[in-house]
Parts: sequence; C-alpha cells; structure tokens
Amino acid sequence: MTETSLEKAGGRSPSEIGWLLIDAAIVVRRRARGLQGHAWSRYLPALPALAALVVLGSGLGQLLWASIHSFNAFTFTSGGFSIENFTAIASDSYTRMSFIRGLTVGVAGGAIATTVSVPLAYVLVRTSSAAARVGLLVVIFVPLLTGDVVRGLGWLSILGPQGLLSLITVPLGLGRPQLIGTGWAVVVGIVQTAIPFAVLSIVPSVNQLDPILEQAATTLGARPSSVWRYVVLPSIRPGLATAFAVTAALAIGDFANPAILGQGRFDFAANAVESAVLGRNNLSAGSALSVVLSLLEIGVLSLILVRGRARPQPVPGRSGS
Amino acid sequence: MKPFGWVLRGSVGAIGLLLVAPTVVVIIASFSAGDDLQFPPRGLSIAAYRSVLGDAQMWHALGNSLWISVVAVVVDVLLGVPAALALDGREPRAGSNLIRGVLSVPIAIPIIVSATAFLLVFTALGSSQNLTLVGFAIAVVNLPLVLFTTGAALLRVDPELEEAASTLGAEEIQQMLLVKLPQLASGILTGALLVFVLTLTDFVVSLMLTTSADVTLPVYVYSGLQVTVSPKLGAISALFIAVVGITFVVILRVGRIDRYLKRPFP
Repeated sequence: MTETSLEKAGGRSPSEIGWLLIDAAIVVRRRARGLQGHAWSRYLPALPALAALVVLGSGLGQLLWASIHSFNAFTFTSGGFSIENFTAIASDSYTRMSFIRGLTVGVAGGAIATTVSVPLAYVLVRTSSAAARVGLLVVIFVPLLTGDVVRGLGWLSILGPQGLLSLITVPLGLGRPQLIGTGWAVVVGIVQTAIPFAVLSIVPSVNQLDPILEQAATTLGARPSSVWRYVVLPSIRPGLATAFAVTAALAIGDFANPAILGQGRFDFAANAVESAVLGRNNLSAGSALSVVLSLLEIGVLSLILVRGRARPQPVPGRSGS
Repeated sequence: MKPFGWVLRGSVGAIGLLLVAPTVVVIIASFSAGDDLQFPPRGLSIAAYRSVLGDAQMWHALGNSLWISVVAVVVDVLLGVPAALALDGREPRAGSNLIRGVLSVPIAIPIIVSATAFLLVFTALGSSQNLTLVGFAIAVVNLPLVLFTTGAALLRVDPELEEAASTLGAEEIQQMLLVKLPQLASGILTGALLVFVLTLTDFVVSLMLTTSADVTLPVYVYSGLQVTVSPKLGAISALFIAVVGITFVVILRVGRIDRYLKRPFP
C-alpha cells in the first residue's frame, strides 16, 4: 500500500499503526542497550511488580512499628515504645482463645482436608475419562472461586436451624441443628476452603507415581488396601506434607469462615485483628495480633514442611515372609 | 487401566456431593418464596430476583466490585506478565529465586494481615477508602497467581520458534510480541480471568478497606446475612455463581487446565 492511497483512506490501517509501534519499540530498545550487560538487567521487567510489593512491605513495616508502640484509646494517639500490645494478647482471654481456636481447629481442618483430598487428587490424575476430570475440577474449584460469602451462605442454608440438614435431623428426633456459631460449622467451611489447595499440592506427587508400581504390587498378591498402605501413600508423602502445611497455615489465618459460620461466637485471631482495627480503631493492638498471627502461620508452614520431607520407608513384611 | 475400586469411587462421589452442596443449595434458596430461607421452601418464586433488580444499593455495590476487578486485572497483567518473563523458569538463578520469594510474600502471610498493612499505608497516604487502591491491594495479594499461570505457559514455549523468527530477521521486540506472547496468551488469559473472579468475589480485603457507604458486593451480602439468610441474598449469590461458571468454562476451553496439574504449586 502506498502513502497516497493511505492518505486517501483518511489515515493509517490498524495493522500499520501496530507496525509503527513495534518500530518505535525497537528504536527505544536499541537506545537502551547501554543499560544491558549488567547481570541484574535481565530482571528489569520484574521491577514494577517488586515496586508494588514494596507498598505491601512498607505496610508490614508500619505494622511492626505500631505493634511495639503503646496506643491511647481515648485520644487515638500512639505513645512510646512498649510491648504492652503483646502482653495484652496473652492476658486477654478473648485474644488468647482466638489463637487457641485457630491453632486447634486450623490444624484439624488441615488434616481433614488433606485426608479427603487424597482420593480426589488420585482420581483426578489417574482417571481416563475427561468428563470425570472436568466434573471433579468444577466440584473442587467452583466453590472456591464463588468466594467466602457465597460459600458461607450455602453452608448457612444447609447447617442452619431451618436448613437442609433439618430435613434429616428433625424426623430422626435429633431436633433442629444448632451448628452455626460453633466450631463444627467453622470446620466444615475451613475444610471446603482448604480442599482445592490440598488437591493442588498432592497432584504433582501422584503424577510422579508410576502406575506400574501399583500393578506390580497387585500382581504379587497385594490387596488394594496394602497397595495404598505400602505403595501409594509412602510415595506421595511429600505432597501430603505440603498439602497439610498449606491448608493448616491457611486455616489458622482464616477470617471468613469464623466470621460467617461462627457468627462472632467462634472467632479466630484474624477476627480479633478485624475487631481491633475496625471495631476499636486500635491499630497498635491489631498490629501486634497481626505480627503474632503471621509468625504463627510461617512457623506452622516451615515446621510441617521440614518434618514432612521424604524419608526412606522400611520394607514391610520382611519378618512375615 | 483398571477402573477404580468401589471404595475409591464411592468416597470421591460422596466428597464431590458435599463440595457442590452449598452452591446448589444457594441456587435453590434464591428461588424460594418468603423473606427468610427454610427447608422445605415455602414455594417457588422469582420474587427475590425482582427485588434484587430494584435494589439501588446492590447495583452500587456491583459497580464497585466490577471496578476493583478491572483495576486488579490490569495491574496484575501489567506487573505480573513482565515479571514472569524476567523469571523464566527454565534457567533458575539466585536472582530469580530471590525475586520469586519476594513476590510470593502475600502467600506466606494471612490475608487479613496484608489487608491491615494496606490499610496502614493508604491511611498514611491520606487516601484510604479509595476503591482504585482497594483494587490495587487485591492485585498485589493475587500477583503470585499470574506469575504461576504465565510461568506454566512459559514452560511450553517452543524456543525454536523464536530462533526461526530470528533467522528470518525478526528483531528481539518482534520475537517477543509476535512469537512469544501469542504462545503465552492462554496462560495470561487464565491468570487474568482468575484474578477477575477472585477480586469480584473478594471479601476480606474489601471488608477491611472499604467504608459502609462504598461497599463491594460480597461485603453487601455479608452485612445482609448477619440479619437473615434471605432468598434475595441467594439471588445475588446466584449471580456470582453464574459469573464464576462462565469463567470456568472459558478457562477449561482456552486454558488447557490440565497443564497446571503437571506443575508443582505454587
């Protein structure tokens, strides 16, 4: 296409504008070549992302600062250096309980989610039916993506006194379910939230497990339960450890499930953070709670990941043969 | 392969049923008659949907949620894709491990802590309760997701295509824009869609960072369900489920989600 015909057309075609932009980019790139050569220059494209993380980092820094300074609840001003925010967490029964609940229910929820995810991950990897795989993916991930509130509303409609569950419990003479506001409802919500992450953590281990091993065990006369006990589970151990670490850590820091399904009667530490920051406007107390909660979560993550590393399994059944 | 045993099939079926139950029940709830939900429902009705359509606060909250979702997608694609390219997984180095670690910080700390940290920054800047900043905060929290989907797509890029383009005289920029990026398109789109949905349904960050005058839709539903579990909240939730369902279909069609199952997470 010539210059004149384009001008007759009243401008440049979109593709030509595209090429002009690319030409401009090439010129800029050539001019910027002086910047190259340094070993770190290849990471320049990551700079904007790192800058965004600096914003979060500065917030975390302020949080640390606020946590070690006293706060006057009457004048809403912060005072001098003090560890009173941390001692208050230990002495106040509400915050102390919130951490204990998070730890116990979180670890239990992580363990249940990991256990339940083993068959899901195994079938997801091994099934030869595309429909089954898609169905499983939908069932596992759609509730995660619809968000905490929609999922919470669903469980409220099932576990509430007027809920779907009452259709079973009332005729059985068990009365109306009184689960909402208790740890039982919170655990149910936590397990469902955790399952997608557990499945994603276990799937790579199942991928690495050669089906031939299981077939060999079966050929040699092992029952299915023995195949699972001595072949499958030991082989996917690293995946199980990751799954447990990730789900327990997520659950300990959970806010939405205690808020929606616990209804303020079964608060975790994250709920204590929210009520300190938004309810009482006490940023120092909220910050101290945040610091302890973060350390706890990182601690649980690293502890389980370190303890759960793959180790050689003893050969079973030697003495019996 | 031998089909699975009945124990395995039965347990997977039962777990699947439990997992899908709340979503199904919410949809049933949205079609129930009456002001509060009970089982068995008092009757079938689309009154909840009528009431939602006429709810000005709902529309305002939906507008807020859509805006922060668009902001989060734009921020995450503009920041995440170049970062993923810089950290291309095929050649791990000390530098890329360090940067990857820094960018993964939002995974390691509880979301409530990130939200509080952003609240402190935005308050210090004197611009808290700004919806665009809420979108930015959610984008930072979800950045590792885009790194993950783009990184997974990068592993499938055929280096010979770029070599061929180079032999044919394409500049580096042209190789990047016309050869490499098109191969990454499905990974980038998957990441963008996930960020869109996760921001649209975000609860914790928007609860911490928005005011009661400018809530997002999940926070609006949350304040409603503290009063009563009404069919109207079910109808709004059904909207979320529809959006997520459509997004999931798109991801399954274009995203070739199987590939994420072949790669360790995160």
